Amino acid sequence: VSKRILVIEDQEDNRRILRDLLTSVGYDVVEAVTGEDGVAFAEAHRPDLILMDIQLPGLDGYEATRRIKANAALAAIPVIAVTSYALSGDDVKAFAAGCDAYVTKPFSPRALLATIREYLDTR
Amino acid sequence: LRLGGFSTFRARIFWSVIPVVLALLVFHAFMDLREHRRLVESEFMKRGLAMAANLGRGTELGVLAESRDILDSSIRGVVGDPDVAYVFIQADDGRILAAGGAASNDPVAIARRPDPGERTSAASQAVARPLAIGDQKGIEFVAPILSESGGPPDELLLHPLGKAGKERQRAIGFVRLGLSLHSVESHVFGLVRLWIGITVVFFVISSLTIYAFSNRITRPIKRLTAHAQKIAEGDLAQTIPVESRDEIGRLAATFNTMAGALKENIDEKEGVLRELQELNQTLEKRIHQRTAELEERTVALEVSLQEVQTLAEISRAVSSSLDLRRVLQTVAVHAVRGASADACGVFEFDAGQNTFHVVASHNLDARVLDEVEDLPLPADTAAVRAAEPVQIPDIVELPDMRVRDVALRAGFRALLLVPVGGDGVRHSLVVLRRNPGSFSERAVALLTALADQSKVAIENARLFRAVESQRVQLEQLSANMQHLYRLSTALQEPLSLRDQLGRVLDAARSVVRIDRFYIWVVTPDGGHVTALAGAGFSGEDSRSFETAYIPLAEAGAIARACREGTALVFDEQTPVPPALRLHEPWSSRPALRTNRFIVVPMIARGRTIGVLTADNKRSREPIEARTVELLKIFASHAAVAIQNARLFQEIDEKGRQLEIASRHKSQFLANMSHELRTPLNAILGYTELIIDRIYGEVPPKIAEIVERVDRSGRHLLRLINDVLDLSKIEAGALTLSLGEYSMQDVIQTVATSMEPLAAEKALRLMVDVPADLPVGRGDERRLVQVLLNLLGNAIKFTEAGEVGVRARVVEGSFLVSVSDTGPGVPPEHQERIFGEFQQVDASSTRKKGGTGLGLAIAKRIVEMHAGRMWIDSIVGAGSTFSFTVPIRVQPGTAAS
Repeated sequence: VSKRILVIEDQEDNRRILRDLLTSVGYDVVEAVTGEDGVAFAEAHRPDLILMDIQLPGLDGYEATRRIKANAALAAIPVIAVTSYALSGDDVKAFAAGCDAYVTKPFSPRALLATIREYLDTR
Repeated sequence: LRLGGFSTFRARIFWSVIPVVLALLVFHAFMDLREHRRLVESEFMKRGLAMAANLGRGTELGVLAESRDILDSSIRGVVGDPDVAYVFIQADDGRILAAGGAASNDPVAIARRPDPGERTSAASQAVARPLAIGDQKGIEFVAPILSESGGPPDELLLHPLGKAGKERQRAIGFVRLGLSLHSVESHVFGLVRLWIGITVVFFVISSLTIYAFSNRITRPIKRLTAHAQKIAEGDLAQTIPVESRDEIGRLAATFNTMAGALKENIDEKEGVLRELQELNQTLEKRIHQRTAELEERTVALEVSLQEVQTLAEISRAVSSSLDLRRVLQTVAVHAVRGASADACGVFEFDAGQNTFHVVASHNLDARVLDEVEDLPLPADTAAVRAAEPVQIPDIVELPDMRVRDVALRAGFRALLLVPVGGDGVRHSLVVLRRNPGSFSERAVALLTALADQSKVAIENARLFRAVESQRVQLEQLSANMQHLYRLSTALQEPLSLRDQLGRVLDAARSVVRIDRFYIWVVTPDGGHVTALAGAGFSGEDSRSFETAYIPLAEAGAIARACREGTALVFDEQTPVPPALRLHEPWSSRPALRTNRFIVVPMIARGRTIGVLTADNKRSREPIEARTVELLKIFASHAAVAIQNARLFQEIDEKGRQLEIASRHKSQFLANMSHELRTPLNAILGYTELIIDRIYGEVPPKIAEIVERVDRSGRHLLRLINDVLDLSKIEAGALTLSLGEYSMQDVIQTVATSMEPLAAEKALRLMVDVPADLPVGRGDERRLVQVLLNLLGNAIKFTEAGEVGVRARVVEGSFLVSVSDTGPGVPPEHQERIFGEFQQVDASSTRKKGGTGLGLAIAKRIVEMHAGRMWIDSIVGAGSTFSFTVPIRVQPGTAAS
């Protein structure tokens, strides 16, 4: 059974890149455009991993992560934050919100894939 | 001869020798006497026996015959012997046939008959037996009278004799001979006396000998003692004659030596003492001499001192007081004291009227002064006009004139006149004395000196009057200058405009006599004047003044001064014309109600910015003429202050605007770089997917182009990142996230990530980090960024050789150096390379692919850690980039 990854990302191109990348290596990809959708999809689809954009319209990535992690049923799902905020302290905020890893934009699909595998292969 | 017990040496000798001598003598005498007595007694016995035997033999016939006469004649010879006490010729039967001797009648002697034993023993020879007749001692000798012939033989008597063989003898009687021991005893007694005499003589002789001997021994000792005593008493000149070579002689010699040494020693000491005494005396003499000299000099000095003091006092008086009369009074007092005079007067003579005039005097009473005052000069005025001192030893001898009479009446006899000043004499110093006689040369000299001083004083007094008026003016000027100076320096200090104007007004108030000051400024629109500062107002007045905001059209004189830039003065003579009065309601405000005032325009850079007005409302004093000129200066100061304040405000405002603009710029850059990155993310993402063949195979030519797109995209990303960093740093948005880190790990991480790049260019990568570096506190990620940049640059610009990273601890900081063997940076570029978009060579940017922002960012990050970064480089040899960061960066100390 292929692993399912929830991508929460408002940028069309980034969603596409991630979809192309992840499907090419055989992952199931579920996409959400907003934070609210992301939280809802996480509950609905129970993904094996979540790629969370931080800068989202409405509910931002931090809050979305907090909600997911607050849900006992979802708390175990690894959340990798993907953010173009390269300011110092962002990583701290991300970890504080419950993210398991942190990747800055622009990400290298290759490097991101390596990080994703790190989480999925250990499970 | 004094023996003195045993205490003296002589007595001891005497008492130890004499008993021995005496004992010897006594012993010898005793032995001698005993021997003599024995000899004499034995002689006596022999004689007695012989005599008795002879008698026995000689009387044989008489006895036989019993003839008394024969017997008497036989004994006659014996009886004559003085020693014979008695002689008895007795018959055998005891009958006394004959008797003789002095004691022959003594019954005891008669009665003594020899017993048969005695007779028997005496039969053959004489025997002796002791005898005492009366008080005389004696010996009785008994000798038999033997007969060979006839006579009736007595067998009984003869038989025991045993002489049967020989001649048959028979005792027919016996002789008793008593010999007195008297002669013997007298002989012995004489001997005893002789011995006693000898003993006495010996005793005497030996005593004398001992005395002489002991004397001989003790004399040198005594002499020695006496000398020693004398030496002890201090008579060291004594020498003891050395008379013998014995112990005493040696002792004496030793004594002499000792005394000699002592004497020498004492002589030496005495010599020193004498020298000292002499020295002492010399010194005393000298001291006396010196003391005398000193006293002389002291006296001389005192005199000189007094004179000097006098002159000094005069001098002081001259320089300290410009009151001529007081100075001359002092001169008069000192002249009397210095010249040992009784009185003194300083006179001025009026050439026009030819009279005296008393200027100052001492010890001259009012009556005398009155008489002298305005006295016509004597006929002979030469003395008074002379430029030389004039002595009049006795005033009596002066020619008859009124001055003489006045002086004599006052009791003065001697006079000394010293003119004050050389030519053109107008003053004279005159001292008077009650005793006639000349004044001493010293007095003349002193008075001359005093006269000179007086001349100075007189001259001073004249000059003083001339100078005094100038001085007052100068002082005023100086005070004004000081205020202005203080003001101009005060205006340099950054103070609020109100404070500065306050200072200007304070300074002005202390210079000019003005009650109240106003400073008015024209508002920027040029339509109004408004009060900016004031001085000399009460609290209420101050408020009514400060709130004044007067349209220029209603401001009267103020408006005119502003318009025309000239000062206006309104006083009693020129009251304020109605046209220039303040309009209602301003003119009714108590602070502004005045009609005598000055208006001075405040002009800065040729433009009238306001006016300074002043009035004397309270004191109602007239305003001094010079006030306007002074106030113009203060007005210009105030103008400068106002202008400065305005400029400062302007600059301040511009600075604030610039700051805001800068913040906007940084924010804009931050936003823009973020916006730029979003599409770039897509570009780089797709490109990488294409390169990774996610979208399937790619024709080689397109693949090459896509690679180029990827490279350019990454460069653009770096640029955007750097710009973002820099703008964040400039906007103050970049904050360090401080945490514990290991510098060793930081360097190792960087070196590891850079190793492939170095290896690609075949460069050696040297890492020199001590294992015991302390744990640091700082922003680890940022420090990694700094080191990545430095090491990246080093590798990037070095074609061959090595790059190295080195870390040390220096004074509480990490010192990290990154060195390379690259081309180096010329000195003129060393500062610039830390700037933005700066590389040594603009073309290298393209070639090396740097953004030109890395070093600038690295330097800023280090500085945010309160460290610093610099470069040491030699062109052609390589560069070393070094930076320091405190080991423990304190939050808040990080410089932004």
